[in-house]
Amino acid sequence: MIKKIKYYVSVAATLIRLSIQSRLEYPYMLIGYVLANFIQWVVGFATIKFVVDSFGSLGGWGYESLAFLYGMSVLSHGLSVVLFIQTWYMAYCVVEGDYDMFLLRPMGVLFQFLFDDFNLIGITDIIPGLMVFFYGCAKVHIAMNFTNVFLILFILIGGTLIRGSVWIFCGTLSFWTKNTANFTDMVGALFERVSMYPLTIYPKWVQVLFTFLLPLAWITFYPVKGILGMEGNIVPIPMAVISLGVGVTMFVLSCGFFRIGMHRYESAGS
Amino acid sequence: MKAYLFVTKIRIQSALAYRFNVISTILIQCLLMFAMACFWRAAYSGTEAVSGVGKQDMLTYTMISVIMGNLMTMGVEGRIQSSVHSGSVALDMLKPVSIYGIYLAEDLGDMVVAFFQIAVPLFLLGTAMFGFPIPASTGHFILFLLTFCIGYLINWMLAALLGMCAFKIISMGPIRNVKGAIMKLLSGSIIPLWFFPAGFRTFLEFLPFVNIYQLPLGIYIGRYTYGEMLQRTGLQLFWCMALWLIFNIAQKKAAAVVLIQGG
Repeated sequence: MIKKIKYYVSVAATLIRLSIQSRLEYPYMLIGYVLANFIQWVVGFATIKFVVDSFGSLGGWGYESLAFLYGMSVLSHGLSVVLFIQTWYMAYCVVEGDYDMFLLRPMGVLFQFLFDDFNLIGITDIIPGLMVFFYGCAKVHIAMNFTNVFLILFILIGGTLIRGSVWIFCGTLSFWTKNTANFTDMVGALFERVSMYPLTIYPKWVQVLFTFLLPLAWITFYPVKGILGMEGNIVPIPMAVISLGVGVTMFVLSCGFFRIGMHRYESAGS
Repeated sequence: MKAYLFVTKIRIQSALAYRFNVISTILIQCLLMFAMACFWRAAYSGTEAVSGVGKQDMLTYTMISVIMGNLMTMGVEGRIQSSVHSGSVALDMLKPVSIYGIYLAEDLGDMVVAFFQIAVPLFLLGTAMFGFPIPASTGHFILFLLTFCIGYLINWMLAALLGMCAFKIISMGPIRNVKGAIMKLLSGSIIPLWFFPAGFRTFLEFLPFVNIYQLPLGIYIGRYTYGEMLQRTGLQLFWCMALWLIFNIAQKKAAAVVLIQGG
């Protein structure tokens, strides 16, 4: 068992090294993306700032907590783009028969697929994310103690896993539909709208939908609310822990769904 | 002219072939419209009017803005880049028509399709959700249509100018995303400029971007007085002509540096 884990880790490390090297082939591209993503997030943040400056608050949230929420959201977005970007192209792999290669090798297909492309460019989302995050931290005066650091890590891991699972889930659907219908834009719009703005701005039914049915509110909204102590705890455990739990559960479920889908895989002919 | 109309027609026909795209675009845009409406409703909870604009006006602004965004798909940026990349720009240039004329004809074809496939459904869905977006008056509506057309041309020329960079640098990388993000903020398509800090706003009003979204939308909801509208439309026309001049110069310069790849 330990030998097997060691083997998987070494393969993952090699694959990650290779994709970083291939991305570094085009350094200007990387610099371009650093600037581009920076500008995009600044623009997004400015939008919120100007509105809050004019209106005072948004859905009961003040400017400081919104900045923190935004930072957390950009960070988990960046992490999920680094780790899961290849899931955006799952539909193409199904239609083009790209899984043949993975099936021939003596390792888990999903493992190989996920580590096949480590997206260094995603780091360019994390840099502005960190800036907004620290700005938000300073604004809400969060104490950087042992507990809070762990809670923030839990939120980031949970949020990243929730995002990744939704992508895997959408991509896996193409095993049945057999076409390259792409949900990435739609899901991206959803993530942005649910994780960067407080859920309280939406009607009740939308809140229920994103809390239980499609638990996207756990990416940032509930755990951030918990960590900022914005209301008395309804449950005795920290929201961040629930977030992590939701993330892990969704990830396991999406992996299972991928396995079921894989049985329907029939390559591409020629 | 016949050639350009033909290109437009072909474009309409090929867009009609992709049903899934249409449905998913309508869904995404509908979602976006809904989310933005919720955003404004939450912002306006507790206040009647901010910066002289009421909630219902803001909902109308948002709805029309989303619809306009779908009509203003600027294919020209990507089109120049991909033709330069694949080398097919050589074939485009051999044809006895203006390549920019062809690109504009393609984008107009896309707009016609988007009008029927996306704008009309979105308009109906939006009306069902937030009420009919009533323009301030018939006069305002006519001026809205006029400024929308001029705004379209400004937007198109800006996109074409950016696209021409591809002749020089071949691979555009994320430049288009950056332009998209900046345009979103500066054109007032997401939030109107009257919510911006005063100094920044005054500066932005002189740039061409406000003329694409904010001016037509502001006219639609009756934000400006007649004097202001004339003044602003004048400024818009000025920008349109200035860009036309720049566009013509850039076009000649770009033709000189074309590099044909492959063949």
